[in-house]
Amino acid sequence: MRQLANFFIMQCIIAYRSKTALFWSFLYPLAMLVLMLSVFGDAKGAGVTGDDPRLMTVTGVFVITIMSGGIFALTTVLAADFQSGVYKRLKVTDLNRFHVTIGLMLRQLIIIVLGIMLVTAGAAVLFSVYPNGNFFSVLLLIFIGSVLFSSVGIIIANLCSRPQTAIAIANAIFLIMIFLSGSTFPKTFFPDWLAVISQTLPASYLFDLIESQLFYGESLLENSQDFLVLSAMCLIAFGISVKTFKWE
Amino acid sequence: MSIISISGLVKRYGKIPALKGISFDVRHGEIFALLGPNGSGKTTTLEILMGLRSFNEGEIRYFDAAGQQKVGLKIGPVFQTPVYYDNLTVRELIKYYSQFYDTPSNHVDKYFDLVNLLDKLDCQYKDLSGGQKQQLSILLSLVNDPDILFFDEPSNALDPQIRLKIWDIIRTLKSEGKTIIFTTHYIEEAEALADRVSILSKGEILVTDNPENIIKLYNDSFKVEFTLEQPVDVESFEQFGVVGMSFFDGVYSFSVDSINGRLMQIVKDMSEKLSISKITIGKSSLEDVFVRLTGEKAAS
Repeated sequence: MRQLANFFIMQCIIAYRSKTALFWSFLYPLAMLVLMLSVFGDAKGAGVTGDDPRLMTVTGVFVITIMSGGIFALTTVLAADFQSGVYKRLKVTDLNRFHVTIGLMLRQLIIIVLGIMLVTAGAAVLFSVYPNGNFFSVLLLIFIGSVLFSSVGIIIANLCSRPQTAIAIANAIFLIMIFLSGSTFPKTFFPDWLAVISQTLPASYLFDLIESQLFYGESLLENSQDFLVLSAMCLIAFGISVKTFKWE
Repeated sequence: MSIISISGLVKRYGKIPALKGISFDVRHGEIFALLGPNGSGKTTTLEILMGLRSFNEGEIRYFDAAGQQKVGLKIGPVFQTPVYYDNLTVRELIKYYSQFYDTPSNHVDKYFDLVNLLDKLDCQYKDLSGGQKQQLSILLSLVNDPDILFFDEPSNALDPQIRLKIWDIIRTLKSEGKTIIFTTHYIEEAEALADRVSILSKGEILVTDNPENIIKLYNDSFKVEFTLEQPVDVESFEQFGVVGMSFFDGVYSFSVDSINGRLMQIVKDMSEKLSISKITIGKSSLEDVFVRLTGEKAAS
């Protein structure tokens, strides 16, 4: 536990001092919020109904924040660290792969939660958009999403022998997820075949569940099936990320 | 008394053999060098001993000071290129790396005098020079009070002054009872530091002994080196009764068992027929043995 705590604190300091991490974790989501609310703010044209259609855009930015903090940020940093040999050195300590993967995921969770708080504040202050939903349910979804996509980031970094390959794959997965999950375009735009593919993506489950909270104000129980599928995906991804962690 | 005993170690990368059944043992409190050219298997051996790589065949056994077999040892690693997080300070690196062990130790403070880092404690790692990074790396290898230290080419690419500093640190650690295994392709480094040396080539150990014995065993002779104003073919020296003449980088060299009348006659005959510009006669070194055994010129 002491080793995990120290690894986590060390990772937080590293992230705090990294300009790249700060950009992708905070400035990028905020910029996406401003851009998307300015361009897609009124989603009524896409057949979306509800109290405030702009909440769907905010939901999309939440999911983008979780995915960029999980997949993109973690793959980029980890692949570079694998190549430089930082983790090879750590392997010779008494840290194990659980300490490292959980420490990295906790760091990303903190960063993602702070990023989402910033997005929420930005939406309220700049656009007067106020999300619905149960705070703890949303927090739980952010936790599951963060662990899921951080696991995906770790898996990509582990499976690729070169940082450039890892970043290219992370980019491809990230872009497919944000375009097909409904985070940037309402799914009502999709043809039937694409909607079927979209519905299999973890980002789609996350988007739908957060949307059900922020937009419709539903409880998790009302969407228990989707919640269980997302949780199962999270557990499987976490297991694979720990199992495949290879230190270099 | 051995601290590590390695027998029949085989490592293959796919179908390519990196280690072909090497065997050696390292004794408590000694400095042991793995000397060899690039690609000879030094780093692979070290990384297997550190637990960073698996091996295909063979056995590695660890022993405590009383000779009892142990499951593993506390190890302190120093890699060829120091690898730490760029934006952590020296103080933070020491603090966190100390806490990554099951039994954290604060005894590293006593080594601060050994390395010149006291005024760099609040500097970020990226702002340190290459020599300071390597000294920090050595300091961090001591945070868990290790039984054995593994140094992979510790003075590689460092300037001579820093290299001597690193040698001093290694000698001090030995004087405190630490066992040290290091790899190097610098022959003078092995000769200056090591109690015993294994010379590796192409995944095989050619010889293991102390440097003096290796020289005695393989080349207890004198080496004659000279340059000519007009270079000639090495085979033409047979007319003077010289066998085994070599030519490298403008310098001719051959070995003789002792300085006697025959050598003097050879030198006299050569100087009559050739224009010798410079000649030196000296005792053979570990480098001569290394070149003879591996067939490769040493790094300098």
